[in-house]
Amino acid sequence: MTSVSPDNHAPCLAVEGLTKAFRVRGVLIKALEDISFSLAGGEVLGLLGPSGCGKTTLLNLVAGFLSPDAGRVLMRGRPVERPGPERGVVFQEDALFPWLTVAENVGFGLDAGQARERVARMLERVGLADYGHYLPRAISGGMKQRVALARVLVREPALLLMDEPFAALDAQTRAGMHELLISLQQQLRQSVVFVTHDPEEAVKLADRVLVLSPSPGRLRRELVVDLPRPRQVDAPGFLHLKRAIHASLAAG
Amino acid sequence: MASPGTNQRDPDSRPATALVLPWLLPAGGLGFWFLASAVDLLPSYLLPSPAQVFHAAWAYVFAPVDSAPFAGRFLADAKASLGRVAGGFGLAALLGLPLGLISGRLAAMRLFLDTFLNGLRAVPGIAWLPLALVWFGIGLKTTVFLVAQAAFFPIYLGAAAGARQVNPLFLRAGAMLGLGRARLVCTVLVPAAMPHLVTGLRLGLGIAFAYLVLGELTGVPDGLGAVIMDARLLGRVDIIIMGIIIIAAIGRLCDLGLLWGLKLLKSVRRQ
Ligand SMILES: Nc1ncnc2c1ncn2[C@@H]1O[C@H](COP(=O)(O)OP(=O)(O)OP(=O)(O)O)[C@@H](O)[C@H]1O
Ligand SMILES: [Mg+2]
Repeated sequence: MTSVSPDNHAPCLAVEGLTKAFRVRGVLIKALEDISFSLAGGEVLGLLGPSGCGKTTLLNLVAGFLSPDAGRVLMRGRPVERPGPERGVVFQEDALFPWLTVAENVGFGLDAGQARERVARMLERVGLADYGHYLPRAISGGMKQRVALARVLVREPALLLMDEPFAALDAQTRAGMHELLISLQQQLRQSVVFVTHDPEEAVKLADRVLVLSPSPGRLRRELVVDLPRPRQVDAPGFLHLKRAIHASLAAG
Repeated sequence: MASPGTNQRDPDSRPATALVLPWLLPAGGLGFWFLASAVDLLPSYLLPSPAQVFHAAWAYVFAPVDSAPFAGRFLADAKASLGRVAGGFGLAALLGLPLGLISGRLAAMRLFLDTFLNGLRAVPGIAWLPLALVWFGIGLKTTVFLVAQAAFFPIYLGAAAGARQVNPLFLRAGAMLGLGRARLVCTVLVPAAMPHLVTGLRLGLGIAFAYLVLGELTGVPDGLGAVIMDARLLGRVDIIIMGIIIIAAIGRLCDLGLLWGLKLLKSVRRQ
């Protein structure tokens, strides 16, 4: 093992000079170029950018699904080499195991002894206490994403990686999910990287917003969301930040 | 709140349709057979009547052994045949499932195996017979070999297709949730590939019966295929037809048994 001993002063997540290209039929497509940022414990980072700018690729690198061409990802000072439960991912698409019930999905891979109780408590928290024995195909899209959230949170990750998790939900369900996410995050204090297309969603959830530019994805702008919670979507400060994000998405 | 437990229903299990539909074709065939022998469509030495065949079958199953040719042989024949099928099919599954899963996931393994296996697959099973007879002689080993080589291909191909088509998101999710390679294979890859595995196993079992009869046509003393061959030598068309019907029934029962056994697995029941 080449692992550095964990460093308590290091940020929860540090991304340093991350660069990634894909070779598609011999042509090299630069997806990300020289991305650096860091994330403190308990901080919520919004990641915005036009479609195809590399948001999912960046998340996949942090999760350990891909390895970078250059640069590195550090979790508490330790380089990330493979996926692991301290970096929980809620995917853009439905990724629940269809052959397992809701409760079995949440408890997947946990030690049988303690799993049952932890799973029950987690399902309670996401409001699915009565749905443990349902199969994923029998519940709604919003409930599926709550199960996906419960499945990672039950492992108490230091970092939660969310890739447009609520994009497919209707506005009302999405607003409910925002409240749930905010309240869980304030109880459990994990760091979050939240990818979205929607400036309003970013301002609502994040402490800080990074805007990426397309092909290759580079950091274009960083905005601190210095608004008290719960956030009013029609407050002047909220609207101002939203406009600023729109403007930097539209630029170039 | 929606009442739990009533939410999943197999669309094929509507009672009336499910009970009647499977029997329409067999009943129709039987009806046509009665009719054909009633009006003497064919002479009875070519197509004996259902009653003749029924009597032959009765004696074959229930009469004391050696009270007449074929009498009372059923249990011994069925046992011999099922043992050969089980041996060959088991061997095929033991090799086909892991090799298929590996070659579905690893391009190198696929490249390594595919040319060789597809070449072998192109050889009609009957072409193996002479070689098998030379290698294994007449009897159990030859039949098991023929059954195993024939059942291997659908099982292998089903497993390879299943492993290849597993949603990569499931494997990523499994790794992200903290599982290592070996546990990923058992708890994600196999269940996710399960529908293909089941198809491959069922096709393999069907083919196993075809090759069972081929293997038993070569002069083994017992087994359902041997009965058919002996009956031909004695000109007993009723026994031949009886044998065909018994093989069809046992084949179908084994398929149902396999399916029922597999349904003990959640990953089969729930997909
Ligand atoms: N596995 C891959 N193979 C080849 N090219 C890829 C691969 N994954 C991503 N890309 C390319 O990298 C670029 C970034 O893709 P990515 O999925 O990260 O974008 P995104 O910002 O998440 O887009 P969206 O908002 O539509 O989800 C795109 O040009 C895409 O075509
Ligand atoms: Mg994406």
